[in-house]
Amino acid sequence: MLTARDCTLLIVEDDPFDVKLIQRAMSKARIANPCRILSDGEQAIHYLAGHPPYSDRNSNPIPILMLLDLKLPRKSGFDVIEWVRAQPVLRRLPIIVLTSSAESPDISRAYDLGANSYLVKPVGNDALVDMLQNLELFWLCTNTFPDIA
Amino acid sequence: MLEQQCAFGVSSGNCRADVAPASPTLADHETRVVSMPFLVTLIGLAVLASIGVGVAAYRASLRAVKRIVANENLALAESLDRIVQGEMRSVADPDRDLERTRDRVLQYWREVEPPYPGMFVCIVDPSGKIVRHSASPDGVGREVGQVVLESGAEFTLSDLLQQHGRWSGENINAAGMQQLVGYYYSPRVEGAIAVHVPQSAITAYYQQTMVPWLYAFGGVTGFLIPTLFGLLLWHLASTRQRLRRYIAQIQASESRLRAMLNAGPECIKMLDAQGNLVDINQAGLQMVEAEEFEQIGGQNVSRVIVPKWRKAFVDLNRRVFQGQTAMLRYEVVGLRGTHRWLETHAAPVYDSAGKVVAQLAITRDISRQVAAERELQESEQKFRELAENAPVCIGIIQDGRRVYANERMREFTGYSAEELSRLPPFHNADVETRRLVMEQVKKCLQAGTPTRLEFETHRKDGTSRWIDLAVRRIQFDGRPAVLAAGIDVTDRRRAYAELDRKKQELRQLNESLERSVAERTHQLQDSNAELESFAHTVSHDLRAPLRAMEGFAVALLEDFGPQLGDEGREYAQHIFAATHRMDSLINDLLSYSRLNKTSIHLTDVDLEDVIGSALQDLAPDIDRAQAIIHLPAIFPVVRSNRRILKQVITNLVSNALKFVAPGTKPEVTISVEELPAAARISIKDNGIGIPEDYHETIFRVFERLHGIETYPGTGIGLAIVARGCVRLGCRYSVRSEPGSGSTFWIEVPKDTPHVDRPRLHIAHR
Repeated sequence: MLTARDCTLLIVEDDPFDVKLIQRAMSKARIANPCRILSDGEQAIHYLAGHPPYSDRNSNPIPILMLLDLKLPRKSGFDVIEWVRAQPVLRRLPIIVLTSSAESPDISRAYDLGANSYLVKPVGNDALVDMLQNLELFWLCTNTFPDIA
Repeated sequence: MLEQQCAFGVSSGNCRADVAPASPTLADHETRVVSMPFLVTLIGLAVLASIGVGVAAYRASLRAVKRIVANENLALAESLDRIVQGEMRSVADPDRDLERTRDRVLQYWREVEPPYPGMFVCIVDPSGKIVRHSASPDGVGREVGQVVLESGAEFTLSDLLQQHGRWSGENINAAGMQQLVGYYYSPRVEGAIAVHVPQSAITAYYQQTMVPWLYAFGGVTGFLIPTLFGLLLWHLASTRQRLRRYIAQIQASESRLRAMLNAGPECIKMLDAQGNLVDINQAGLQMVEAEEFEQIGGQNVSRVIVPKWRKAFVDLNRRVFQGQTAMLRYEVVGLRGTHRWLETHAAPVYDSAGKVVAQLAITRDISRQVAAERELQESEQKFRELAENAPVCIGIIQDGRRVYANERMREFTGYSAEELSRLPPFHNADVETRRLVMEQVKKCLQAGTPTRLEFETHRKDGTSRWIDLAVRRIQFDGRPAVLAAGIDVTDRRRAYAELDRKKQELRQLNESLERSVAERTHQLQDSNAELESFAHTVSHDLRAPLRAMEGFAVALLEDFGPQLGDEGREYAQHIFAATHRMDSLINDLLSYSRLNKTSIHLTDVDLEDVIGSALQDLAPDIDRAQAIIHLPAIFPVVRSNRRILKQVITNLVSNALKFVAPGTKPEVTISVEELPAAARISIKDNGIGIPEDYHETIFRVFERLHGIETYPGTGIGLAIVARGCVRLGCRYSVRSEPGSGSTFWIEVPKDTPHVDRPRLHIAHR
């Protein structure tokens, strides 16, 4: 069985700059987990559902954790949370919202729909690295995951 | 007394206004008059009187009988003489001589049967000597020469015979025996033939035959007279008693009547033909201010009548005494000088013979009425003057006629008063209008409800005028009438018509305005929604590239620093700083826009908590500036929104820390003052101060007084304070002068303010 550190992290983020900065910060934070980057909500749903072109679970494994932006093309982060939480088994997937919005309606709605955590993207690379380090420490090292697959 | 009482009411001068009660002696009399001893005495007297009468009758009858007997005697003597004379004529007797003739007389006497016992005849010679006589009582009539008449005068028989030839009467002879005699002188016997009857014989005879009758008569009269007398007395007594009762009744009735008369408020008086006062009641006395009847009783009433009315009053009295009733209003001056108006109604009083004996008058004091009438006249006069001078049209309609129209009305209609009184009311309106108006006027007259009418009329010259007429029912000359007061509203109507047109225009304008407002509101709502989504966009989309710029700038410095060289590194630093500035700008803008949207939830907020929390957020800045913060002594609880209040306080304290002269340590004093309805939070600094010209502008968005290099900032901080205060219903202001620091204060209500209502916005100003 794979340890948590080997499992795939799913990152749904449409901004390529942010993707780059997150990837850089992850490497700085020494997070070695394989990451799958998807750029819109619809892709995320297809991926999680195993729809083509993500039918192959070997190359497209079920993630251990999803970092989800809210403002996404086609289907928003809220739609994705709502969909996941409506699935029979997949609903257990921990979802961490990582977004630039600190608006309280967004926060409230995200939690209402079933987000497990809400992180506002910090200003500054160092802050982002700090955040990711903390995230790894809690979610990947400390947290116990449910059985999803 | 009876007469006096019976005559009361027509002539008694003694009658008083107050009548004395019936005399108390009357009852005493009653018992005495009918007492038994009195009655017995009366009856005794009657008996005695009747006895006297009897005796007198007896004696008178006896005397009469004697006279008759005496005359009979004379007649007898005469007849004896005639017999002798006749015999002598028929028998020629030459032998006859005196003696034989005298004897023949006695002879014939014997042939006569004497009607009375003791009766005898004698012949008396002129010397008075009895020469012959028939058988007679002993010693009787021996000497009859003297005749004693009843009167007592004494005659000799020869005197008597010579003078009279015949005589009859009583004679007292010498023997003292009373006899009844009749003498007749006869020449044939040469003397007198005298027939005698003893008185005693007549008396005895009389007593024998008459006295039983006398007794019967006396008994009958002796019984009848007292009885009749008693009956008479009884009748008198009972009549008198009846009269007394009758009088008492009359007195009581009169007393009641008088009390009634006195009780009334009206003067009731009685005058004689000369106008003298016979009687008057209490009210009448008061009316002329007399204490008692004597002051005016019997005097002429003209005395109190005002001179100009005296003649009229005399006329009135005269008419009444001619049998008419009459009425008069006149003035009097009372004995004490009070002037009064009286109204009198007079009628004649008749006696039983149908003659007018007095004037009975009922008189009322009508001073008040007269005064009221005068007042009415005056007020009517006033009304008339008022109405004449009033600037409104005033008219009175009575019995379907205009009975009054004031000057303004005449002026309004263009008709003269005479024309108006002649023409029917509202003739100057159209037929239909007139009908409707008259209908209302009649309704007003019947129901008494005032009403208002506005209608068109035409002046005499034909011009159209509108009148606004208030119609009301009144009493005019004592009869219902309609008072119409109106104003000329022609100009007003024109103005109203104009106004209506303007209103119509205004309404149209309003409608279009409302439409555009609705449109604008809709647009505004849309734009608000857009703004919100814009803010959302800013928070997400604007920050994302910013963060990317910053991130890559840092990455550039970290990963490729040595290759960039000093200048390249500096540029990268600038990019980094610029992104920071923009980030704070976006943060402030977001805060500001957040204040605009949604409703605000108010709770009890502890100032200690809010201020503490704000200072905690500012801790890095405070540390960096090595600032001194003075905290307030009290922390009241206010009614507010914690998040917004905290932001306001944070911004104010942040400003206080920021705007100090270079090299000065910031010193911030936060104080809280409790006001009746609010808590005033003041934040005082030792900063550079604000010129007074800018005290208002600094609260506007993006207003900055200083270059960004000197005092960094976005220019939104105080705008957030201002907007936040408005939303929380707080008053806020600043006191400051350049160089001597600034004091910003806000007043947070303790109770829930009506934050969303505009009047607080007004209060704020």
